[in-house]
Amino acid sequence: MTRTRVLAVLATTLLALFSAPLHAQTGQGPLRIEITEGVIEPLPIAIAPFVVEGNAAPQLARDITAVVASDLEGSGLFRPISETAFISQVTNFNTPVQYADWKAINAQGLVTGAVTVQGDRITVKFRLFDTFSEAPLGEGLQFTGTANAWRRLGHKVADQVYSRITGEGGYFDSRVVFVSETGPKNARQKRLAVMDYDGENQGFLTDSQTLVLAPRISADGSEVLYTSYATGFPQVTRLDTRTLESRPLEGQPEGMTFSPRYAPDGKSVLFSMAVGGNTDIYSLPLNGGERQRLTTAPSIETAPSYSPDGSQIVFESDRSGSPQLYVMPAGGGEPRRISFGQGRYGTPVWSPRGDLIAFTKQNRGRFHIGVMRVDGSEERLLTASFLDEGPTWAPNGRVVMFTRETAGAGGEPSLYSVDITGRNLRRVKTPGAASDPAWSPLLD
Amino acid sequence: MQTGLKFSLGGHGALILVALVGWPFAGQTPPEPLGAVDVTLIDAATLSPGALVDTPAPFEAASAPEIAAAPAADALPETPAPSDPVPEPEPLPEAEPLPDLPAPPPVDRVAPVPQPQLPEDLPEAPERQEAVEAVPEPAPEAVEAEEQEATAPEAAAPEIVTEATETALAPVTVQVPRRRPPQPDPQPDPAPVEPAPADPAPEQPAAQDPVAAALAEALGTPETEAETPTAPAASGPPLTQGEREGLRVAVGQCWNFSSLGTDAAKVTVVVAMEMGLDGRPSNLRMVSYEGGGDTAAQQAYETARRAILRCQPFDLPPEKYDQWQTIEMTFNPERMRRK
Repeated sequence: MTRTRVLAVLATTLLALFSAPLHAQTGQGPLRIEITEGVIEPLPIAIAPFVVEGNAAPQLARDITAVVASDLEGSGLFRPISETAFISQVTNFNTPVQYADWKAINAQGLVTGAVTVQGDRITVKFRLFDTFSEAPLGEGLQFTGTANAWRRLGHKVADQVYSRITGEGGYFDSRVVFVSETGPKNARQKRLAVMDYDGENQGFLTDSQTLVLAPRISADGSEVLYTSYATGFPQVTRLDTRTLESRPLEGQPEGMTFSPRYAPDGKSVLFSMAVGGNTDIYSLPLNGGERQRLTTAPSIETAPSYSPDGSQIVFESDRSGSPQLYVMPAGGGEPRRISFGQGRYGTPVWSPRGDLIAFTKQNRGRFHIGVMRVDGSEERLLTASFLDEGPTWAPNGRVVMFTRETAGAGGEPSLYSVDITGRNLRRVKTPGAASDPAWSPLLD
Repeated sequence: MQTGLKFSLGGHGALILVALVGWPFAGQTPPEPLGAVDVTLIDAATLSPGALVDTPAPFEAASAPEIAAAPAADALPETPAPSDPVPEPEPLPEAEPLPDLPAPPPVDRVAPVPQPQLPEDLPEAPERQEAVEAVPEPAPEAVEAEEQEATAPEAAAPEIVTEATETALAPVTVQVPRRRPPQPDPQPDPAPVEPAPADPAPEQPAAQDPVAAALAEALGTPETEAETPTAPAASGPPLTQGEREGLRVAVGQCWNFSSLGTDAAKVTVVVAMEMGLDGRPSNLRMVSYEGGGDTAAQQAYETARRAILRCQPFDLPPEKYDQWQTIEMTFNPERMRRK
C-alpha cells in the first residue's frame, strides 16, 4: 500500500522533472529586445490640398490648407511633405485613400480636407489617416465659421491633427496679447496689441499716449489686465476687449500696483502692491470682495502666478538676498523656496499642465528662459541671449513664448517661441518691435 | 653671514609668497563681503527690464513726462477711437466641431486589400542600408545628425522612383513571396550558421505570408499562424549579438520620438508581434506599459507601432526563425527623453 504510494509519488515527481525542461524547449519564448534609441525629427506628414466643394473659391481652400501646414510645420514636430512629391492626388473627400502612395513618400500621416461655402459661412471638413497602420486616426470632423474666420478654421484642423498624433492638446487656435513698440529706444511708444498666435490678425487695444506694460488676457479673452501709467504711477488696469474701455482695478486705493495675473477660474486677480517701500502680493476677487494680503515680508515679493488648479502661487522674492522663486498656498502662508541654482530668477509662470514652471534667469551677464519642475528639480535652460525674459505658456504647456531684446542703442525687442525641449526656437512674426507676450487659452 | 643670508632670503621669500598667494588660513572669509556686495547690487529692477516693468521705482521718473503729455482724463475717451483697433478680430464664435462626419467604412475596407506590399520595398531599402551603417552607434549625437539628414532624401527618393517601379516590381514581388537572401550582417556572424536542420514549418508561412498577413490585419486573428510552427520547431541557434543589434537599430531608426506628447514620452511600452518568415510583423499589440496612464500609453504604443510598421520587413536570419517568430519589443524612452 504505502510502497505503491511512494512509487506513485516518485513517478509523478520524475515525470514533472523531465517534462519541465521538455516543455521549456518546445514552448519557445518570444525574442525580447529593448529599444532605447530613437530619432528626434519632425514627423513627415502629407497635407493634401483641401478639396473645393460647391462654389467655394479655390484660393480659399488653398489658403486654409496653407494655414494647417504652417501650424504643423511651425510646431517643429511635423514636416509637411512638398506637394510636388505626392504620387496620388485627393480630388474627392470621400474617395478611399491609397495608403501605398502615401507610404511610398514616407508620409506617416495624411490629412485630407474639403471646403464648402454657403453664403457667409465656411465649412471645413477634414480626416486624418495613419498611413502605416492604414487606418483613420480619429473620426472625420467639420468646423463652420464666418467667412473672415477662415484662418481659425485652419487652426482648428491643425489643432486636431496635432493632438491626435501627439496626444496632447493643440495650441494653434489661440491669441496673444502683447506690447507693440515703436520709436527710438529712448522715446518708445507702447500700445497694447493682440494677434493670432502666429502673428496674423493684429489689432491695437490702446492708443500710444499712455505707457502700458505686462498685459494678461483672461481665460475667455473678454478682458485684459495690464499695468498702466496713465495716472503717473503704475496701476493695474482692466480693459474690455470688446468695447476697448479700461478702468483701474478696484480695491487698490493706495500705493503702486503692478504685475497682475488672473486666477485660473478668472474670478480673482493677483497683483503686487508697493506700500511704503515694501512690495507684497495681494489677491482680489473681481466680483467685489475684499482684497487679501498674501505676503508680509519686508523684502520685494512680486510676479505671482497661480497653479492651474488655483491651489498654489509661485512668485519671485529677494528675501534671501537675491531674487529667487518661491511657492506658497493660494491663501498665503509659509513660502517654500524652489530655485537654488546660480544666478537670479524672476517672472515665474506656472504651466497650464501644472507640471512645470517657466522663468527668466540671469546668470553671468546672460539671460535665459528656463523651466523647472514645480518642486524646483530638473531645472533646464531653454535659451540664452543678451536679454531673454518674460515667458508665457502656450495653452497646451508645450511651448513658451518670450521677449528677446537685442543689444545696443538700436536694440529692439521681439517675440520668440521655443519648445520646452529647447528645440524649435522661432521668431514670432510681428509688424514691429514687440514685448511682454501673454498667450491666451485655446479659443472656443 | 651665509646663514644670515639664508635666513633673510628664506624669510623674505616666505613673505612674498604669502603676499602673492595669501595667508592660507585667511582664505575662508572673503566670500562673505562678496556676497554682501552682491546683495546690494540686486534689486528687481536689475533683474530684467521685464522686472523693471513690473517694478515701480525706476518708472516713476520715466513716466512723469508722459502724464503731462496725456492727461489721464483724455486718455479714456480717446481710446475707443484710436487708429484701427480691430477690437476682437475674432468675431467668429461659430467654429464648433460638428462630428457629423463618421469616417466612411469603405475607406478601411478598400484600401488595405489591393497593393499594400509592393512599393514599400523600394523606398525602404535605403533606410535599412543606413541602419546597417549606423550599427556601430558610438556617439548618439552623431547618429542623430546622420539620421536627420537621412530622412530628407527618404521623402525625395521615392517620389522619383515609385510610379515606374511600382508597376515593374509588382509581379516580381507577388510571384516570389519567399524572403530574399538576408543582407550582409552588420557584424559578421560569429556562430557558424548551421543550415537550418529541419524547419518545414516556417516554409509554409512563407508561402502564405502576404495573404496571411493581410488576413491577419483584416481579421485580427493571426493566432493560427503563431500556433502552427510551435509543435515541430526544432530550436535554431540563438541570434547573435549583431543580429539583435541590427533589429534594435532598424526599429530605433524609425522610432520618432519628437511627436510624442509630454506624458506619452514617459511611458515604456512592450509591443508583441508575430513574425512572418519574410520579416513582416503582424498582430501587433501592446502587452504592457508602465510610467503613465491609459491614453499616454496608447499614444506611446501608436508611435512604437508606427516605428515597427515603417521599418519592416526586418532583416532576420530565416534559419533562426524559431528564435524570432514571436518578438516582444520594449520601447524605453528614458534615454531619449534626456536628449
